[in-house]
Amino acid sequence: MWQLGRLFLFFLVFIFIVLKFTVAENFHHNDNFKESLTIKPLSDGKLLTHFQFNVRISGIKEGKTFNHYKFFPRAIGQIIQSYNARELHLTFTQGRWNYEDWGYPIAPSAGTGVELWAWLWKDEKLDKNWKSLTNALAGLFCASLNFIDDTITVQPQLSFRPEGSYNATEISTHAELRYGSLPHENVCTENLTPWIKLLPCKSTSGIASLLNGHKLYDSNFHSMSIHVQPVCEDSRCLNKQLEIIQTVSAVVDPVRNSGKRDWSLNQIFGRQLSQACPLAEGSKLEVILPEDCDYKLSPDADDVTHMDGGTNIALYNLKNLQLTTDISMTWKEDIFEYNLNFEQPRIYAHRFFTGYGQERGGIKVNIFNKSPNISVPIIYYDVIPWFLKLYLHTLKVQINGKEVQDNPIKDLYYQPAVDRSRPNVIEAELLLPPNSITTLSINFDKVFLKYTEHPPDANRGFDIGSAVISSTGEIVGDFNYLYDVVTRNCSEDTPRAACYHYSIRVYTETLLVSLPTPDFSMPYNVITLTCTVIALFFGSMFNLLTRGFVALQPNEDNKNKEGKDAAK
Amino acid sequence: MEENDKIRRLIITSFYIVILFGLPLWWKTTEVYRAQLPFTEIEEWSNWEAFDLEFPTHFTIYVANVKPSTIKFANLSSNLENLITSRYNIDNSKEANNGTSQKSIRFPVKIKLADWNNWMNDLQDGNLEMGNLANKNGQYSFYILPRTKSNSDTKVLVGNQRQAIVEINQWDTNVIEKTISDLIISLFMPEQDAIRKSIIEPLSDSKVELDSMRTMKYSSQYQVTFSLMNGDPSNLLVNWDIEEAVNKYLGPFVNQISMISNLTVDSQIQHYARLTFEPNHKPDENYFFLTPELLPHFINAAEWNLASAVSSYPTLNFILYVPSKEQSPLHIQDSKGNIMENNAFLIPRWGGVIINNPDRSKGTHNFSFKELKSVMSIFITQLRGLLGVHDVWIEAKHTLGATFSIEFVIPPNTAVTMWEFDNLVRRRIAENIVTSITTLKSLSQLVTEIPNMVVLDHIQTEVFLALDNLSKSCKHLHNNQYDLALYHSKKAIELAESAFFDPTMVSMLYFPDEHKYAIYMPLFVPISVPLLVALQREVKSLKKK
Repeated sequence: MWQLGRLFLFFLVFIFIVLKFTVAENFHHNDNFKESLTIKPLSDGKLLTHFQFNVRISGIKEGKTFNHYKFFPRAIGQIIQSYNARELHLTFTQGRWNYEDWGYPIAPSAGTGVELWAWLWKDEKLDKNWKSLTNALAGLFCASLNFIDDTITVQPQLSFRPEGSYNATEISTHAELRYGSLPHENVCTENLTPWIKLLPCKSTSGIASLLNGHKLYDSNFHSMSIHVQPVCEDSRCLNKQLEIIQTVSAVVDPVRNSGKRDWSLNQIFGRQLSQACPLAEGSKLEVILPEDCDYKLSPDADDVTHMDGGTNIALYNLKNLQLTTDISMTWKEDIFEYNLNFEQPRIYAHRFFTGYGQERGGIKVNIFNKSPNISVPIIYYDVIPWFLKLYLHTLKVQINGKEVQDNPIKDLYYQPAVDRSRPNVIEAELLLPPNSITTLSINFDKVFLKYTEHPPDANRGFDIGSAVISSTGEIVGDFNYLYDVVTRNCSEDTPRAACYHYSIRVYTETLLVSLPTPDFSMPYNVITLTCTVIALFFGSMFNLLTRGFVALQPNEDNKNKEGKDAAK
Repeated sequence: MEENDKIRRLIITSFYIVILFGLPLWWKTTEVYRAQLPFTEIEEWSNWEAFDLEFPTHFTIYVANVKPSTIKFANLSSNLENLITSRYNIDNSKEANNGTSQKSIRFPVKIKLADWNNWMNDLQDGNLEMGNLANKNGQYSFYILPRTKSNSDTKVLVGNQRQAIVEINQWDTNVIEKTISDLIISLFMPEQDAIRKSIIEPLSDSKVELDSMRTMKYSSQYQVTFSLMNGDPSNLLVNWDIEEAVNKYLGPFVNQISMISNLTVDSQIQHYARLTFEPNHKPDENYFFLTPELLPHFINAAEWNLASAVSSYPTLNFILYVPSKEQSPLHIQDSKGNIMENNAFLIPRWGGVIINNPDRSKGTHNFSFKELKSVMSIFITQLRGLLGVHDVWIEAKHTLGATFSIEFVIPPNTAVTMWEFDNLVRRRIAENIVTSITTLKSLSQLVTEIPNMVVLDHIQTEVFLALDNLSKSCKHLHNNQYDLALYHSKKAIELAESAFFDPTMVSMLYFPDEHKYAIYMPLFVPISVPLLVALQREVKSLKKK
């Protein structure tokens, strides 16, 4: 009898689970949407805010189009399908991520301006598709992406590997990579508005309601991105999903206003949270807690998790949010004192111009490896426009200021520029010795451009996009500094091994080069001068031909008169 | 001295001669490149002198072999032809009297009689397919037989192909003649009027018809977008089984119409789709309503993501709108204040909207496949209207009056019947021909008016090809080959438009004449001064003599 009762109970529970499952299944049957906001106080008193919105659409068959959109933005879906893009990464950035003070960003940032890279399926129209892709995105985001033409487009060989889950050989045989960046592009609200319109809840509810253009663009650094890539649905990757990740990162400076690092949502965004997006499966706000302990979070977090690296994360589940809430964090200190002993990231780099004058110059890159005992393999990637003529024989590598015997360059891919059709590309695989500064330098000549090739603000100079240092590998030893990078890969359903695989990209400064600038009224001057010379020549020739010349004899006045008559 | 003067004059004249020859050369070399366009030919087309437009129709009348055969059918076909042609021409001559119709459009009719021997068996089997395999646009068959039941109505059964069975109440030659001619005229007259009007007054804005206002401009491809708009997802989440509904309900229509225009279908769900205005509220019955004056403001184009990111083809939008809790239930009232039953409206040349007020008690609502059936049937009706499909038989019934009863083998509105399809093909051919001629005409006007515009060779080629396709289209029309005529008219319009909208056709990209003079001024002025002075001096010395 007792057993029967238990069986019955089991049965009831089973029915309940099945029912619940089917109801949930019915509604979220093929799309799901998650939103999260991560806030991290940085070591120099600034505050990183990182918005992330993920939409996954399942049941995508390779090569089969889908036309019915639920949460996935239709505009992006149409673009990637019509132009055969397998993976798409678009980032708008303003300002420079300060690696030394801030560590690594949560989502890979990019150099100042716009960066676009995509893996396109190989077909006869690939280059046309890339052109159309840039044009369509330019229209969608009100950005000058259509200026990414052949002179800017690059096919990186070593960097920018696919980020989605693939069979690695499959993607390299069936797809090709295209990369383009516009360092001169300014990012502002006209780019943010179409970006927000792609979200399922727009900016009406959920954490997207905090995206306030006035506050966002009043920050030290901001970056807005869209990543479309396939992900595996199960561990054996039989079924794939298409994921779109939209992120906005901004670094704000509360110290600038009050001298303290205290912050609240209302202070940094000018708005408060009222409710989670009703369409989101998960909606959370995380605060990555600093190591010192004399802070206070209000209201209290729903949960605090301890990560392996020793970091604690306070988590707010916004799905439970009832009333309009302002989350704030205060420290028990009167004034913020800069921490001078912060942990530096392992790898970072700086790039600058050398030389002077308008004829020639050089580029120098310092790559730092701060880890005390680990050699790190990296890939250095740099695109230099065609109007700087690089000399490969001048490429020098120094470690800690000295020439070294064994070349640290393990592999080098170099594409020389062709005038007005393609840029210089340097990709080098380097092994950075522990605790070292590796310096790469190369010299170039500056090209004298045609006068129509100069931009309207010719004397401002030309922007040279960031160099990129990518590093991938297994995390060994202490990886505290890599924490943020790791969490992005880690979610409940990824295997732990994948979690410990890191992939970072470090972007250097963008550079400004001034080329010899002509005087732009010159063409008309040349025309006028030439015309005058011709006219003078004509005039004198004409006079010579039509005038009679008579030799004058000083004594004979009469003859002189005759001569004058003859001239008439 | 005489010798000297002579030589000097010779030199001056030779300078002038060189300059006189040089000036045209200079003019020629500084000119912009202009390929020669066939202006006269375009002019001929736009005056409708270049061709005769003909829309022939052939009818085969299968007469039931009724025994005892009391009626002689010998003259039936010629009588019918005369009757119909004369009635077509009444309208034609009316137009001619107005003085507007110098343009030659003809609608020739051919009628053939055939015996229908085993009609009894065919009727019982319901086998109407016979003899219809070779049928194409412009060829129709009527099967006539006496009405079996002694009913005063004439019954017409419209088949799924290009045929109809007519049961005539009185088995008599005159009645047959009258019935058939009435039928044919009421079926084809509206179409002919429309075609004639579109050709005679292609750009008449003064008398815009409701019909032409609603129909989209022709394009070889349309993007059809279904959007489920949810006013407020915080208290009602919505979803729909749109994929299945589109495949099942819309698929046949899309397939059928693809010969004229391709339709690509997609769908989306948009949340927080708010209206830009507050709907009216009726407190005593507690519902909200929209008046006809408010409907033009219904679409919130700025916030609802309706534009396509990739397609440059025209988009047809169909919106299923679920209002927010604060604004529901939402209804549409007509001008008299009655609630409209289907709660839907059509926006001319844009799309259609249906407002739906689902049950909010559960917090979620899924528009199931079955529920979408009624929604899709309204959308399909709207789509037919937007694409210019006419319910030819239903319109004919209005003119025929109550003595005719019309039935269909397959119900209308689910897809397109062959009658409607043919009608659309013929109208679109006429429209395409007219539009491509007007486009070419505007192009030639533009090129003549702006002398600084560069006309490249590919523009010339496109114009020639467009004209060629136009004449081919007319030739095929003449031969009763509507499919080919449609194909060539499509080509013609595409070529004409691509020539007209070519990015190189921008005059401002090139130097205007003033700039040319300004640049050569420093050369011409200093050269002309000594020349003129020398000339003046010579004239003076000649006068002295």
